[in-house]
Amino acid sequence: MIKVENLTKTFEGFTALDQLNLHVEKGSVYGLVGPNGAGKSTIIRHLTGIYRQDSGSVQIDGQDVYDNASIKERIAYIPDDLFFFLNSDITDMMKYYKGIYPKFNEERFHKLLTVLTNINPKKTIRKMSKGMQKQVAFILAMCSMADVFILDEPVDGLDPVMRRQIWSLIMQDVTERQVTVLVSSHNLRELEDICDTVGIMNKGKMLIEKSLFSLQEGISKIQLAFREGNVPNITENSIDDIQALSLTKSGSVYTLIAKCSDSEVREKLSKYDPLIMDFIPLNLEEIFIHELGGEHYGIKDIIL
Amino acid sequence: MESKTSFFNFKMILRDIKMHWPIWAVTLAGYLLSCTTIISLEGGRSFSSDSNRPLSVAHSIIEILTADSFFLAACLGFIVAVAAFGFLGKRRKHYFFESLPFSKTSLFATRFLFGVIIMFIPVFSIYIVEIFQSAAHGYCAIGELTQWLLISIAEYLFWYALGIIIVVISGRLAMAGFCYIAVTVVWLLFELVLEAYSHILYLGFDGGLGLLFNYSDMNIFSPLEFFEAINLDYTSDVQYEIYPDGTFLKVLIALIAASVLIALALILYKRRKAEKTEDNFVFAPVKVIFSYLFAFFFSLGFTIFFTGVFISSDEGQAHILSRRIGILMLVIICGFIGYMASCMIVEKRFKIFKENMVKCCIFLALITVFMIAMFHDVFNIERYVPDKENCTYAYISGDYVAYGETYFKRFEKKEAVEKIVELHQIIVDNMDDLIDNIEARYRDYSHYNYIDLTIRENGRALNRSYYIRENSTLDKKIKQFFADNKDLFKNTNIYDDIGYYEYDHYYD
Repeated sequence: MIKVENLTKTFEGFTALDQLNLHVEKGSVYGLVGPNGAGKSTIIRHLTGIYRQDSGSVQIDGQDVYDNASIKERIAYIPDDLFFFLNSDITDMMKYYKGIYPKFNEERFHKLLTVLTNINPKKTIRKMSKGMQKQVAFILAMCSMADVFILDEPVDGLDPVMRRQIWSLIMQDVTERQVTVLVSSHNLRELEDICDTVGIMNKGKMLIEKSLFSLQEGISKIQLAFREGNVPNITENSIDDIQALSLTKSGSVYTLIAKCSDSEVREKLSKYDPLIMDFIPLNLEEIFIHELGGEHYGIKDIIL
Repeated sequence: MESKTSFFNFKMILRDIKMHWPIWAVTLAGYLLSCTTIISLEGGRSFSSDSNRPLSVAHSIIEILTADSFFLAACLGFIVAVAAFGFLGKRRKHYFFESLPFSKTSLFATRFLFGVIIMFIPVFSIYIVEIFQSAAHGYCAIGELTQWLLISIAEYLFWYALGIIIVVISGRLAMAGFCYIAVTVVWLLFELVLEAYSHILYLGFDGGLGLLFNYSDMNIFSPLEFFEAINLDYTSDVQYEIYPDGTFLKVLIALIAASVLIALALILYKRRKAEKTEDNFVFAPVKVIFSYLFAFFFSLGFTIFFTGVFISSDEGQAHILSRRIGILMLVIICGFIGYMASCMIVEKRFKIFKENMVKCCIFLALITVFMIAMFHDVFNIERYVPDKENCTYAYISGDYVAYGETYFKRFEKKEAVEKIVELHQIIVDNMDDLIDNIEARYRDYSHYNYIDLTIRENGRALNRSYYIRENSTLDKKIKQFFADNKDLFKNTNIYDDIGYYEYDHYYD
């Protein structure tokens, strides 16, 4: 559904996107993660037709996005930085969207208003709180009946109940209407629950683009517990055939994160005869930190 | 499925018209108020003959509508351009619009049309209102008002298109500077190209800031000519000519210019990168053009301002050389300030002096050379005399006591026109004497005579006003000229052509 190939974008000599590739299947939820300044918002602005690429291609459903009204009709975009017209209430905005998006569903709009009960339809949107404005943006995006949702930090500022409510509504659209979702967020815990595929970006490049399952499969987190007095001296060098990403020791317990399958690790670590060898599923946040650690973006020990 | 994002999105246009109501409502209210006031005043006047009253009312309506229209069109054009395309300078709003399902062209067209509508709501409304109002006073002013309407459309579109280009190429900080440059350049071009050479030395100083004090003379399509024509032809038995020759040519030129500017604005808009939002200069080459033009007009504009404040009123500066040195010093000081101010705008910081000093000195040297060239009429502008064969008609007016009854007359006879050209040749041949006259004028205002010539050459107007010292060589020559051509210029006072009533009414 979404296909970005060799996308390059420079801003006055600074390369914001460098030969970037990105692919999102129809009906899937794609999580775009990366450190600050990685180029997430830049790629999103290309996908919504705001920026024109220097080179490469940005396509949705086989068509270029830039300056293409027929494709943009099928995209609902929630930016990080929302915009609403001066003195407009939600009904004004609804009328505006209705005049622009051909498939706008007014019935759905009224239904959603009853679900998100906090919103006062007569109140000027700009006077609402950030969270309320996000809810308004969601309602409008969902009623545009778009085929592709592009969401930049979508639930930032929402309370936990509303976050769940919003995600549940989106997932309902994914299931029922095969909507394709690309979401950029720093809340990796949340992305983990909803994403099928994750793309990790850094310095304008796509480091990894995999399904969440295969991402978790390729990296193992193992805890090795030894008897007191019988703790072997394990170093990253002594287990260099495992490709350790991190090794920490706490008392008689080692915690190892390694880039290989569980069976390989089990086989190679059994020589140390641990009392317990426990495989703990790695969460997205840990994968993110360890992947970027290899890109010199690790957490540094600083004494202030 | 029917697309809602075709060329124009009327939902969007209607919404914007509603949202920007103060622009068109205030303009309309201003028009209505001024017209109603002037008509009430006209209604209060007493006339010896009722038959001329309707004409007078219509005259007043047109006069009030055209007064300062250059200024109004320029202001409104820029304001509307900012209202329609100001989103380009606001990141959130710009990204919002760009993400909506519009092609670049249709977004431009939609915004453009919205601007056109809010600009023309007051113009069309007042057009209709004034047709009824003049009809109520017994005069059918459709012809005159339609001419005014066409001129207004051309004027407004021209300035609007120019405003759009400025908004597209610049950020908010640089916008005011660009507007200043644009107004000055257009006015200079108009004076230089369409009015051809009129008051070039005076105009050279008067561009820039000076125009703010003289805006009433800058009605781009109906400047002094318009009022001259009214004064002349109002008394004619044949026709009530409101607009002089060439008006429609100017309208046509303005419409063509507006169309070209609109096309250029679209091209620039499409080439504008969204990430440049909030930048001062969207296109790099514009920076250089901006800095030099801004500095150039700033120096000339503020020079004329300070000349008025410090030099003209100072008797000690009466000698032409010291006056010129004073002007040159002002040009250099104002040029320095203008250049450095432009660098600050370009670089968005204050500490720019050191690195720009050399370039500034080069600029000041160039502007000094330009000023000296202008003082010595190197381009032969002041000394230019039109070719008799190409002149169609001429106006002449002057000091009644010194040069006889030569008021406000439009001469169309070939012989008379040729004589006026000859008179101009006499003045040009005695330019040195004229310079003495200028010095005399500064020293003693009471002993000089005034003469004004306007000669039409190939549709262009060469206009000259001279102050001639009483009993100087040139003054004697001019008096001799009028004595020799007594028959040709006899009874040229407009009041001789009309009856007692009009004469009386003229002073009404």
